[in-house]
Amino acid sequence: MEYLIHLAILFCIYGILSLSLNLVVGYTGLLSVTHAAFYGIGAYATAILLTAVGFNFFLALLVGIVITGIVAYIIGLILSKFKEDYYVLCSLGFNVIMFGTMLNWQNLTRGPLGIPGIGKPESFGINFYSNINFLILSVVFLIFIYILSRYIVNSSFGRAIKAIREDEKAIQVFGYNTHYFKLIIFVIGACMASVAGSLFASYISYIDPTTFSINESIFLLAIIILGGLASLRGSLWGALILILLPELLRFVGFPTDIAAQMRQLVYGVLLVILMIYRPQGLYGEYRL
Amino acid sequence: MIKHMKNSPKVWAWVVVVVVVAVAWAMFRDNSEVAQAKPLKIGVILPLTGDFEFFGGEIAKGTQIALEEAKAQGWDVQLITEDDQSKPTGSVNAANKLIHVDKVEAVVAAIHQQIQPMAPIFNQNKVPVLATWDSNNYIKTAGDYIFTIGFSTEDAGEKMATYAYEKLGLRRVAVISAQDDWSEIISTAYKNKFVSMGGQVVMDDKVQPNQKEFRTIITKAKNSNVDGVYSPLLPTTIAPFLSQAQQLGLKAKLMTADSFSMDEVEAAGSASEGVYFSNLYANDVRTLSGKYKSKFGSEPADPIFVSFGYDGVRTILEAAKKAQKDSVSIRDALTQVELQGTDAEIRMDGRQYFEKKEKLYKVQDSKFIEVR
Repeated sequence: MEYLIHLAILFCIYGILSLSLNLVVGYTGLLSVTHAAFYGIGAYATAILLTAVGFNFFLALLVGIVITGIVAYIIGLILSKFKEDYYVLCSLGFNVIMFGTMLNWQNLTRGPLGIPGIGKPESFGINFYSNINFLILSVVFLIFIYILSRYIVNSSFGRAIKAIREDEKAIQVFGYNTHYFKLIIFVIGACMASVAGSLFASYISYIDPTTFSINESIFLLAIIILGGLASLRGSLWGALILILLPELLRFVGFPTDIAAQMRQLVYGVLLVILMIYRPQGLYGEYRL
Repeated sequence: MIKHMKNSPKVWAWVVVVVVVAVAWAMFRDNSEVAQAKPLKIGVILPLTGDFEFFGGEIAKGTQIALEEAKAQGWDVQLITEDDQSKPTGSVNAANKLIHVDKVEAVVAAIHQQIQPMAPIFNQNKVPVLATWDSNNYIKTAGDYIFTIGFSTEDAGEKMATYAYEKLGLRRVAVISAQDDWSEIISTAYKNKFVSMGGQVVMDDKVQPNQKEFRTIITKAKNSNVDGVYSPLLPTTIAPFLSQAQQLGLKAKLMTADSFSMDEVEAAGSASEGVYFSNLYANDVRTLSGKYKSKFGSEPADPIFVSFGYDGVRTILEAAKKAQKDSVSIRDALTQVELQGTDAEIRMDGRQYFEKKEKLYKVQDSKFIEVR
């Protein structure tokens, strides 16, 4: 049961990440490959404030959201100058910059040594040291992010960002400032990713830059493509599948010498099969 | 190009649900089977895929050799090997699975990058984990259930610094390290020791772990008029570094660390001549190499790696001889282990670590010559 609780916590964290990324990529059509950077900023902000300054987790989480929001605003302003392939490349560049910052700003982040000993949350006499309590906390955050995402998507703001995805020039003709909408959703997505980063840092109790590299951004994109672009339910299903699948494969009885390699092979083959028969993902409205 | 698609995901979603339920059933079914017959379960967490797979597989084979010998001696022991994909999250997932699903009594791991994220899990669940390659100040103080019989990273850096200052007479060095935690620890130890002895670290730069192009940084070192360059880089990057240093005419004494292997010497060719390095060693690998060849049909790529797995499992079994079949008593017994390992005689003497010290070598005529 503890193992399932552990996987459930990871699902909540990646569920938040996939919901937030889908708002940007799926609903707005901005193919951003910088999401792991915001995930990392949230994680590092929480880790540093908890270990070096002694903040309470929830305060550190809020500060992490603010810091991530500011960084996302600046990056979003620059990214708004670009479109399509150039947008992708530029966002990739930002992920690389943030990764390099985490790796090289050793006085702050301890560089490749990472930050160990990150504490678990506690507040008002309730502590989240046990996995079951941490799961409850994670589920609460996931539900909150889901409700917020649903509200955004179903609002007039949500209709505007979907219209941007469909035909940005057309909506501009009607007087919509599309840069404003794209920037706002980019910042909102980043702030949500920061929440996931805070939860991750506290749960694993150790972070290092390798967790927030470009590979993680690509993995998050894979989650939402698999689950379905522009689908909140799809985001969660995608996270569930891609978190569970490698762990499920541990129970398949491959010979010990080749088990690890076979799991990677099977994992890849299953993803390819899923994409062949469901190219739009499980719940996707459209495909890129 | 945006193409709208019809939705019919329910079948797929139910497929996922069925698979999840099946696995959950498999997990709990395995637990009930375990209750009936309970061998000693030892977990092994290694990077079998990803950036560190070059040594993970060899260490795993060492554990398999030890398992075979243990069974021949009458042990009722089961080895469960999990891949951590060379990632912290992978290590955490593997640790959780071994502890909560497989209910292992102890775990064998290898390196610092694994121990850091896993340490809280093992301490919290009172299951001992034994690092077999790395030993450093973090691992030695990571908690009551963290053990190591590895080579001291800090000692390797300090030993090289001392040799550089006292024997090679170096006074101005450049340190070029990789952005990797092992490289960070060993280079920091080197720098601190070298400076404390009166030397000067003129240049201190970092490169990407898998970087292969060093000309700019080598030129910078050359222009700094250093008399020595310490470059504890990762495997497969040392050879290009040395070759480029030779091409650019860098005359400083070159020093590196235990990523330097015969493969690197062959790849670097004449550029490796005269390079000093600290390295792992084993007193007798011929016997173990013979066992490897007998079981797997070929020579080991590096018998030292095989010895890590081999000695790791044997150390756990040695503790289990004097303990009840539970993780807490195995943990206590580990502190009293005395065992003739492949690398050295392992004596814990009441501690949670037995630190092996690397030796210093020089490449001469494409051979490793020990220097003191």
